[in-house]
Amino acid sequence: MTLPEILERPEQAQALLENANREILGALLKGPSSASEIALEVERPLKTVLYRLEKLLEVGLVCLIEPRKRSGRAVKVYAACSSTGWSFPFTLTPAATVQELLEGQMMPAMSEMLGHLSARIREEMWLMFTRDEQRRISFNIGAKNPELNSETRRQITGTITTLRLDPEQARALNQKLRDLVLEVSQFPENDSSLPTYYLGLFFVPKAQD
Amino acid sequence: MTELEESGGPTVLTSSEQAEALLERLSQQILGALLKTPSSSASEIALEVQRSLKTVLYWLKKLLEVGLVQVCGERRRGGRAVRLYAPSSSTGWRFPFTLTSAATVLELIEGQMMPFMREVISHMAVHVREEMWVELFCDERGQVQFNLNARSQRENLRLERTITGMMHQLHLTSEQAEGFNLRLREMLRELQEQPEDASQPTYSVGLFFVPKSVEKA
Repeated sequence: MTLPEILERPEQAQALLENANREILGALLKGPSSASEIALEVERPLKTVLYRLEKLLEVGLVCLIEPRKRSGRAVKVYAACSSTGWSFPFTLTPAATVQELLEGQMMPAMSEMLGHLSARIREEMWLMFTRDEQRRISFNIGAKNPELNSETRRQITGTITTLRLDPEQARALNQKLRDLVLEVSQFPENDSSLPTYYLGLFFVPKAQD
Repeated sequence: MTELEESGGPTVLTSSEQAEALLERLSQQILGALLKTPSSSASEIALEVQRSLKTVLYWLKKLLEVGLVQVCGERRRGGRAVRLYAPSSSTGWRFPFTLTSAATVLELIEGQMMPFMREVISHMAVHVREEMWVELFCDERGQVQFNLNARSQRENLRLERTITGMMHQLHLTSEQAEGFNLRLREMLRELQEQPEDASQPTYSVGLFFVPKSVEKA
């Protein structure tokens, strides 16, 4: 595979760090498109997409190619300036630390996902902080009605937990999650007419400070 | 099914101060430690939750005030009396959403999950070195990928063996989605059934699978 083009300007790096821009650039990496085609693909309003395209043209990540004719009218066609994508070093970002960079990238995505998670949860939910027979402590949000609970569980998973693991267990769990990531990346080019799902997988050893 | 409280289940809370206390991460950690090992001293709790004694004492005082914790006895150590604490319920507590001060479910969930995520990210950052590169590209199968990678293959392998941190949007049929969710649930169940050894290192695990709701889009 050809390597992604290396960026040298901070404005370009900055543009790539914004999720909405990445969605547009991602769509264009698959092939040149008109603004309305992109809007359809990224599920955002045309106005937003046009505004972003303008910015991406300015920083030179996107360029215009031969317009398309539609009933006598010329429709602008946008293309990614690199066919292989882009890469840039951490030092080109405005982030002072890796943590700042990661937070800036992951927290908005997390927040978006939690928005959709909450939309599925009804207000007559109960919160439970309990100890079971095995002395495991858990904090759960669930319905009082067990049927409603199992219905929700069939569709959604949203768990964060801290575990103590021996090195063998830790390796095995990380590998399982990695296998899932690999499997997901090998799904056939997914059909954007199907419903969208958010998948988030985290496995992080607590750093000794 | 009978109501949980009839079968000796978690105690139902009625005061919003108690609900608020249960929503604090540190209170949860302290109460968790006490549910596991009732009649612990403040220093034993501090050791378990890996916080300073001063912080733990501050929170214990609050928990005593709202009645989630009680003093259950004393232990003598070198002529000095050391207080022992116990949770007010041996099985835990539960309370309705309406008892919280959150205006919406989203506010509640964000309040619970975001601090945890921030903590996870800070640990993640410690493992990642600054010579990382950011990449956006389209792979051979036409999938767009956004990654944080090291330049060296060796460093990437090291990271992959230690950490997983990914968020992705997928388009799936409802059968695929249900199958995928089932596997995550299965993984979660297995995890929860593993016995815990307190001498082993701590890991944060997050598993999310959420359908995009149309109304929110």
